[in-house]
Amino acid sequence: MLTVLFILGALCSLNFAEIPIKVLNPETDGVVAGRFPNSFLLKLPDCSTYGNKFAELLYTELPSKETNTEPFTVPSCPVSQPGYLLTGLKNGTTYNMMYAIEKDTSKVLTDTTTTVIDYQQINSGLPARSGAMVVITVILSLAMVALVAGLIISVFSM
Amino acid sequence: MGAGVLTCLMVVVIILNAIAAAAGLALFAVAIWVAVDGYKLYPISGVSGKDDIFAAAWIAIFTGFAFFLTCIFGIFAALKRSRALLMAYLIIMFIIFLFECASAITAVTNRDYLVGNSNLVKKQMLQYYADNSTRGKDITQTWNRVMEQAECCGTDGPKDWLEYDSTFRQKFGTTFPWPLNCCKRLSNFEVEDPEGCIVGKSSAMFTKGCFQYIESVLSRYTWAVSWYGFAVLMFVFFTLVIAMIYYMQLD
Repeated sequence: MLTVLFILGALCSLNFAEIPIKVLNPETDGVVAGRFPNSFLLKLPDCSTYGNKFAELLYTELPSKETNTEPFTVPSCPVSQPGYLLTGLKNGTTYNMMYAIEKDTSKVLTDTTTTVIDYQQINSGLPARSGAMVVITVILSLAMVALVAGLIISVFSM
Repeated sequence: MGAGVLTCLMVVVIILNAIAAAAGLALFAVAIWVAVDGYKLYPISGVSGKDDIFAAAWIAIFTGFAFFLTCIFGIFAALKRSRALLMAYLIIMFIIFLFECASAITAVTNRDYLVGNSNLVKKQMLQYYADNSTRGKDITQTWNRVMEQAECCGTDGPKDWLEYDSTFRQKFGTTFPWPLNCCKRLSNFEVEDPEGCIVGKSSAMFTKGCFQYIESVLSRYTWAVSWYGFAVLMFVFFTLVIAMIYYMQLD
């Protein structure tokens, strides 16, 4: 039934109103990130058209083709949350997502979750030596040698 | 050498020693300020095992005070025009000079290790924040305080919590992408917008990284110990050279 909906969504978009769907962009949408390792932050359906209506987010995991539905209520205006958080996903996996509200659907959005790097991979060795360190070490070493020389001269000049 | 020139040299040695004594006392005070660690960032260097900025501060406390005492002794030795006393003064000053050199060089080298770039601080945060060990508790408390006071999140930004695996992610990753201290709070300490913060709304949380604050504090400590120590050492070097010339003119 869900696959039929997907096909309907792709073919019959002219007959029904299309709900815009996209992953939120950190640069333009005032969020820290849209793609997380285990979730996506998606743009909510418009609150004035679909406010308080029962909606569904259908998503398919590729390549296993496992499909799931997330039911939710579209918040009414004014909306406080920046987007819809789809959680429970796997790292580095591609998903097809679409909204379905009453008769309207959205385009199918394909995106991949991010992967996490193990923190042990961070190289915490000594970065480049700073100029201050070189200057202080060189000048102080020369001063120490000069003082030793001066002491020896003064002791043996009696 | 003429008695007049000798007296002139003696006066110069006395004045230079007086200034060096004051500078040594100031070094003592500044090093105490570093050792007290008013910004409470010691765990970041302690847990990584590279806490030599603070070790250098302790050495500077002793050498600063030792400079003060020895310079006063030097004034006394110069007034007495005694060769033996002046030689003792020169040797003691030289030994203190060596220790203070070690302190200045150690402080500035360790600063490079710790905050040359953000990698060490970031790795430590990811490994120890929310960890149950003693080190974990220290680091967690320190980071919580830094995030609140400096209004920041993560080392280079909140994305550190998303890009890397961490102890925090292992424990709380399903509920919270980042610690709640990253969220903006009201004056009664309640989180302003909990749902917005968890989702990543930029207006509900702090988006700048904490590394700049940590780096500026540790650099401030280092400059206090190493650059001021270096300035005192250069002045003392000059004083010792004049004192050696005075010693050689005494009979």
